[in-house]
Amino acid sequence: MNPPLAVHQLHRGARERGDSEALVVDGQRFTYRQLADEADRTAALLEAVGLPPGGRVVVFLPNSAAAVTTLYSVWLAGGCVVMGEADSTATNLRYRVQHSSACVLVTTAAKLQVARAALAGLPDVMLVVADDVDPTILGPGEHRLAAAPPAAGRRPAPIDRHAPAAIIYTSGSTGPPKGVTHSHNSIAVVVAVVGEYLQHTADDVVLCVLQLAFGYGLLQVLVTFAHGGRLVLRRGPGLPYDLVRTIADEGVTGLAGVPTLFAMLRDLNAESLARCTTLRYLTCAAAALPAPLALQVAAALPSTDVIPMHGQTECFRTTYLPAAELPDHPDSVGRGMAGMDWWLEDAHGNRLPNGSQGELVVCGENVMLGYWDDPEATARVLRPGPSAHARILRTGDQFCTDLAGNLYFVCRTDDIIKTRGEKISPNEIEQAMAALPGVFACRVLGVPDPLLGQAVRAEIIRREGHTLTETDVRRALKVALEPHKMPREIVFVEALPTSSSGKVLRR
Amino acid sequence: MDADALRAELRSFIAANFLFADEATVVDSASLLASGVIDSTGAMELISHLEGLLGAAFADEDLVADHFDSVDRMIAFSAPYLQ
Repeated sequence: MNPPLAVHQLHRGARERGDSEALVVDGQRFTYRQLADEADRTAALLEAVGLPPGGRVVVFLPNSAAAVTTLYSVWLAGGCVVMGEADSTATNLRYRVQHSSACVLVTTAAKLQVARAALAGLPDVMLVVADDVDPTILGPGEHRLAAAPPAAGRRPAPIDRHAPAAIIYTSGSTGPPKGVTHSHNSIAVVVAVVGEYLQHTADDVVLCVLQLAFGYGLLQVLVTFAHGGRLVLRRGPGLPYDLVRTIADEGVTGLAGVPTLFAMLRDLNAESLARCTTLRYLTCAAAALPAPLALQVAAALPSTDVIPMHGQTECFRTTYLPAAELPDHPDSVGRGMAGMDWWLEDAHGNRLPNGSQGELVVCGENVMLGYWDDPEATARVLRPGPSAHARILRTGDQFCTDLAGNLYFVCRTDDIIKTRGEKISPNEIEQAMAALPGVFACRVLGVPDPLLGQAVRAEIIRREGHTLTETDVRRALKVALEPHKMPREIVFVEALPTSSSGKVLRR
Repeated sequence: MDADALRAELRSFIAANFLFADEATVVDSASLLASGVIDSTGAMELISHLEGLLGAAFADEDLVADHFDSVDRMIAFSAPYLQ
């Protein structure tokens, strides 16, 4: 496999369909030619401020045209992009800058104070403001993209396809965030595989409501542009009818979401959903999609393929369920994907046959190079694969397989609750609760208990207009679960903590 | 319920559930979604709370950020439901 690299896709789009619309964001529309020219101009500025080959650039921008062109510009300038979350604090941003030894930080005028605080005492890190800013307030080492001259047609830096292209920081259960480092090749491989199974073409219009700082959000951009399609970029899904309007007005064909977005769509009436007929597929990753929710949304949107998937930043994507198989296995995430091998392992590293439960291990060129500057953490999850650029990754995710090899997510290995010496998957209990019509969202976690080790606690947000009681939940769980899995505490809450990607957090 | 009572209820709900801070920190004109105070899930919780306060069920077409993105916008949108 030597799929085309993402770095060249804007320019390829500009050559092949320069005047076609590539991006719609903040009420503005951009062609491939405009994006390519802007990426060239930004790349020239990055070079001018001293970005060396392979140098890291932290992109601290909300979903916007500048975020997209800056991403490509870093590659065009021969650098490695470090995605910063748009709502990042100065402390978190500083961690990314220092840990990756970044040379440049790109931000907006609105975030200038946060960026300056993050760079305090780091005079060698250049700051670039991507939108309009009063030049008189800028100090030494602070640059305006607005002042940079055009550089359309600039010669791109030579690219080693196996060199680091992107560092995506992820928080684990313990310790500081780890910098998942992908090469141009690992990104290109996953973009090619995903584009293939989602059958992308230049006619596709993808609505991306996920932050580009997440692997799942980043892929929306890269897959769309790899096929010459149009990307509609928003900062979050907004409210349900905002989503419907965007889909209808732009003729959106593809949408990636987390389970809460599916819950939003399910609760819309038939008339609203009838406006979403252009939607060809709806994918779910980042958190397990409850089977009842998948089926309800598939029934409500008959012309849309509902595609449950699984992935993690370390390899972007591991598996997806072909839409035709949803009715038979709505709780499965399929049997892997092309170009990648997988199996389950027990705690001792033994390969398990179909029909087992164990840790998912994947092998392919989509697996990361490693964690940036952290050989120990890298060695815990990575080992060499069968060829030079295919690596083997322990995902830390527990799965079951059936005899046909369909994968069923159990939980993160770290999330297993140990109560009375028994191992319980919080995900299993969450799925059972999510099947109740009165449950909008829920989470299950282990709380310390002197007698049990851990006790099971369930937290539920009631669905609007429902009067669900603790007794109702217990009655349903009694049927669905073994007795030792019954939560000791069931509480109703107004809100649950979510990550900036919209995933309900267990910690 | 009148507009002042509704405003007080919304301010207290937002302070307690999203800002985790004193009500005085709620700025009635500030955008809640764009500023990151609430995400889409939070917005749905807020709307559900508002429906409870007004004894109303909003139509799908009304579930847009223009109606709910700030305390001021919610008060304006709620006018037909208030005494």
